[in-house]
Amino acid sequence: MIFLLSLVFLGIICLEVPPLVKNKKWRELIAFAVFLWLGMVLAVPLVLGFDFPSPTKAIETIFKPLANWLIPS
Amino acid sequence: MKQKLFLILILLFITINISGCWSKKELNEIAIILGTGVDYTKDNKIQLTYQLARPAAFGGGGMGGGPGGGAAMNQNITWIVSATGDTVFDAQSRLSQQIPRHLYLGHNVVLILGERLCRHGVLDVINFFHRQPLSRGTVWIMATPQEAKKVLESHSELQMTSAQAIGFLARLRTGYVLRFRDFSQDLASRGTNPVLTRVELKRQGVAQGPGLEKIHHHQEIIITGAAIFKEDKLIGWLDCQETQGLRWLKGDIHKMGIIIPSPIYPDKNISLDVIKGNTKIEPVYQKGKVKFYLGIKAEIDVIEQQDEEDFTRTEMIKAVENITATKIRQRVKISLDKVQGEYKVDSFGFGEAFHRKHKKEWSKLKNRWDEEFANAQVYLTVKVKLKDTGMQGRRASLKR
Amino acid sequence: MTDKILEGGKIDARQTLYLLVTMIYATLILFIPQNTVAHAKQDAWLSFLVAFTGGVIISLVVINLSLRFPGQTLFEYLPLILGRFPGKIIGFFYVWLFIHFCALVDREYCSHIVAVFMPETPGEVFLIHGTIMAAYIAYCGLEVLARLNQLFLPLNAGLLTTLFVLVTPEMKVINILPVFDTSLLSLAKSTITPLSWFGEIVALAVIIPYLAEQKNIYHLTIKALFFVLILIELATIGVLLVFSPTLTSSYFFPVLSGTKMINIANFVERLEIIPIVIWVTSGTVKAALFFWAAALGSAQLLGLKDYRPLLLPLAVIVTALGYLLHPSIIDLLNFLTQAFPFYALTFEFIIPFLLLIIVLIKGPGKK
Repeated sequence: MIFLLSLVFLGIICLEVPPLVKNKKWRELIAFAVFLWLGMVLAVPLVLGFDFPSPTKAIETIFKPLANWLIPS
Repeated sequence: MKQKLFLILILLFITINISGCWSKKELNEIAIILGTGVDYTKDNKIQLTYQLARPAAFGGGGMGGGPGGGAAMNQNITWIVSATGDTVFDAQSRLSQQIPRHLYLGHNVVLILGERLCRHGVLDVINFFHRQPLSRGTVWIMATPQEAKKVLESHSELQMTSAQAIGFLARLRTGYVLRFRDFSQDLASRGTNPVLTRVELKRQGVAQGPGLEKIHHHQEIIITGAAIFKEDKLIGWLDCQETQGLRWLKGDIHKMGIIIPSPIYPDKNISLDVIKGNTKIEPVYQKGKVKFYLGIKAEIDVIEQQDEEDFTRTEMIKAVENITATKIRQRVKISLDKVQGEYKVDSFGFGEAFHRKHKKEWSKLKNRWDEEFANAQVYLTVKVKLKDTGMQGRRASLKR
Repeated sequence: MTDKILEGGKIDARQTLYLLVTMIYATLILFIPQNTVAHAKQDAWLSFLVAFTGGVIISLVVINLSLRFPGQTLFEYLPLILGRFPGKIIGFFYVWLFIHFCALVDREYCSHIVAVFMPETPGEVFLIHGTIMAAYIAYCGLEVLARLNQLFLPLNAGLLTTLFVLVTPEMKVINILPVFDTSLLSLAKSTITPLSWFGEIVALAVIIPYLAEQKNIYHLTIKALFFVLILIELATIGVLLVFSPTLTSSYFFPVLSGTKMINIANFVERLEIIPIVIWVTSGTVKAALFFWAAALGSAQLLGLKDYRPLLLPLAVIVTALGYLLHPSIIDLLNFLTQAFPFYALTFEFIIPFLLLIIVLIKGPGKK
């Protein structure tokens, strides 16, 4: 699984990075790297089977009290 | 070069995925269930019975082939299997250990519930058929005073299998029939108690042909009335006559014969056919009392006469209409007395009608609706119109 | 540095109309009748009417705001209104919102197919497929997306109408009576979720600069919302008439269950593939639109010249999120009906409304 994922990441890098370097689009390259890093942070623990906290929980903690207050169930 | 590589990758991706054979179940890997029966055994377990089609037998002999008509007789066309368990799925998983194919519920025609189960309560088993993605709301649901397993262990003379036969019979709407969806709807509604079709396995006719009379005792599944439920528990049966009255009350009027005594020749009869009819329920709430005014309208045809009433005369038509109205009123009264008087449940959906008319009062009454209904007065008005007299107006006669 | 435009495509009035319709009705068709009916019972159609009115108000705010900054997307004028730094922060919140919407649509798509048709296939398979499709469409740009949708929407609307017609023999008018039987509170409860989906019209703030003509935009948007209303009422009333409200609210996918009831002369039956066609095509377009908006938004916020290199990393994020967001379909539905409306409406209505007020007071932009 992790092997497949690395292959996917490698593929994405091979596909996108050379043209960016060739055209000297450094800004794009940095943005690309940051987003890919974010993706890695999300995907790698998932594949390795760690319990990553769901972003839904954060949204729910903010908005659930509001929902309960406005519309008592 | 790079683009080509990319294209090849995409093509590979598509070819691998488009075949979509991850959860594949080929036709020769599934066991098609045609009929399902659920019983409640003496030791309080659930017994699940499946009538499985044997496609091998469907092919060769086929329709009309073999002696005596019907399906080929030298091979069993269905295979009836059953198992017991604590829940429906428990029973099914036992079954799937015995059957070398995937059980496939998608073509199920009929769901038959045994009497013991109905008396115990059907809520225990119904949910399985809701949650299954393959199960459908169009399945005919029926109750039987016999054991559901016994009822499914039968075959049909005219259709391929007995399950299909009962499905076709239900589609003709000669009795009160309903589908799984309607049943679940009634079960979840406070204003209606469910009614199920009552089916039985009965000896029916004898197969014709040289030598067949002896070996072939034939039993068919037939509709013999209705089963009255209080919430999810069976509390009584109705026979065919009472079911006709129930159908008038529920407004489910298709194909119904009425036999009336002739207006002028007391010991002769006239057969009539109801071609159209509807029932209007008018609930009234006065001084804490619930009343229902029922308006029944029917259009009838003359099917046969035993003597020589002249249907070209308007007085005769009026007379026939009046007698028919009385007859319908009698029928309805019988069912009403039985269901409202004896069983004390609202099987007719009067509660729903009341809800539609009196929204506010309903919220107060809905929790004790059955008692309220048992004490309710029902007033009947029946209007009958004679529409057609078949191929004759007045029959050929010696007397004229 | 030449000022190259990020997205060269232009879409015409009809394409915009279709795109807006698809953007909203896709999810509604799948889930919402169930949740709405649970609260409003037989008056569910009424709550959609109320939600439609809310959607019109939201769209008026968004359009009014956008027209003050001609040729600029939400991400470009946010820094103009709020100042460079806060504007970019809010902008990234919107990028997150669009990524989240996209992940949600993908998740719904995969949950649905797994729950109903392929229980043995792991959901990730559908998740990855959905995202790859969305990413590819977004790669091709807005114009391709709009044209694709131009192909699908008439088909889908036709199919939905066909389903409605085919299921009429199963309908009972009494199932929808009595009318107006719900309290105002349950009506409000039932309205809030559809309202948040109608509010997705906020994506208009990103689309408007790419319209070929911007004169009739008010007219166009209200027309789109009205079409959504018609489609959704068709589905809701159809389902309500076939199943009673109690039964409808017990099903996850009422439209699909309703389709299963179709049986005409034992011959025209088993049409479940039609809701799947409707859902997969419209869901893909919807996911692709939000995907495109997210990529374009981040490119504009970061001052890039091209949004395309960001698509594949975003695809990874969306896939992972789609998997991560909800452990089960129950959790997904609970989220959609409880916290989600308030979360979504904050971005869909409150922030645009506040922005509009700031613009009116401080007065950047024209008019």
